[in-house]
Amino acid sequence: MDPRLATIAVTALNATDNPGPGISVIRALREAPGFRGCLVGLAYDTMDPGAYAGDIVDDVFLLPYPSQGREALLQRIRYIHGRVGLDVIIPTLDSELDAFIDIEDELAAMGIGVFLPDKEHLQVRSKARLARLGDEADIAVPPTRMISDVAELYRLHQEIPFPVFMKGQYYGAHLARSVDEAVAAFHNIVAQWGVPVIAQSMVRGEEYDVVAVGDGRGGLVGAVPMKKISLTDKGKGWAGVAIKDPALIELTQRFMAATRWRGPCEVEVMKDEQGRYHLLEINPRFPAWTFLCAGAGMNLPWAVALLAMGIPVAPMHEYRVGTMFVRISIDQIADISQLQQLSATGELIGSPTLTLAAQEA
Amino acid sequence: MHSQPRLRDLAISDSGMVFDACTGAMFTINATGRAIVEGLKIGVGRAAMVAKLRDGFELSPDDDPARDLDEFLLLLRKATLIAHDFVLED
Repeated sequence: MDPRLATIAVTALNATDNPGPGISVIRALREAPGFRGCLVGLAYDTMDPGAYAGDIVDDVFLLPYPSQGREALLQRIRYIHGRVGLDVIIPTLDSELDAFIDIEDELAAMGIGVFLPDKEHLQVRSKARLARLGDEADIAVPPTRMISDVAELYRLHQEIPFPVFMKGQYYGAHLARSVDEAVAAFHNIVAQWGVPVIAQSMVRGEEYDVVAVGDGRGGLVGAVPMKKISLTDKGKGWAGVAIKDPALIELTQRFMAATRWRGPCEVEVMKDEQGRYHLLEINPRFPAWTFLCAGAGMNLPWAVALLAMGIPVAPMHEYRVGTMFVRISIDQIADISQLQQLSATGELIGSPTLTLAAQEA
Repeated sequence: MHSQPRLRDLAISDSGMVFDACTGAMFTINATGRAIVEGLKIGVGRAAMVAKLRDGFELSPDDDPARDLDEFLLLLRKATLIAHDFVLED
């Protein structure tokens, strides 16, 4: 089969000011040289903006939330596969990875490829185990403690001085400068993501992020480091630039070698004033700014799609340093019937983006 | 005389906008600063650099291109664009 004709599904079409990675990954796939296949968006909410981006997303299907379990997901994927014939699925949310890894064999039996880590490796890079990973990969990690009981916060300063970052298992980071702020952050995070909450020492410096893909054998398929140059009020990157820092690539290679990581990830690193690198997090999926790598000439989502189809990809080293991304908020035009259809049937097949001229016709 | 490796990764536009490819930092420099950076990139020595500034720019009697050069080198050192122990020799 010609991979350029493949039907590739990508999850997470949320594209607010704190966007999910789905649209960025879909845009990269759309830009793959010669790609003429079908791109299917898998959304969790009828108001996910990417569901109405008909210029880049061919078909849209709603997915059950991960909390509904593997059977609900598998049943839905079977239905979608019957409708459009999937070749590849690229999950892009932390919270859904467990479920997709769980059903990998069933997906393979249907002829649907994924390129994901196994559960053990997924846990190795979890925030809860990051310090151990740092030791194994010889990468500095800020002092970190798991907090399951709010009472522990009153003793935290004996081990980690304030300020600290309070982090959820999957998402969210709150800077706490005192016990009171830490307690408030703890309750906020527990309400969303449960325990444990991760308390991580704050490292002062410049943050850098790397989008990377591991081959599952300890090697690096490709990586593009990025420096954020504009942030939203939530601290999310609104603009960034591809940089050339061999030390960041080398750190990413050490992570891949230590974990034999399979699939995409985002490496978050802080460079302190002495020029030392501290690993803050490994996100086990593409970041929201993934389209930058395709723009810079290293299309990592396409590499993952090929690998998921069992097609080897040679390690990639070249990208255009200085390539920037700058986000934009736009008002997409849709017809209320699209929302009605997605709400009622859970799918939008071949739905075009509306132009004003098309509406008047 | 060796050029400083970090300086080789600087992209400088005609308008003096500088992009540090290693850190992503961006800043602007004036024509004098640009002359110094470009000189350092190709390994120009101190005496030749001072002469370049003296010949290439209109100076008033109070101007001291050697002092200006040292102050600019201090800025480059703070930005880690040249090594902490770098000395521009003749």
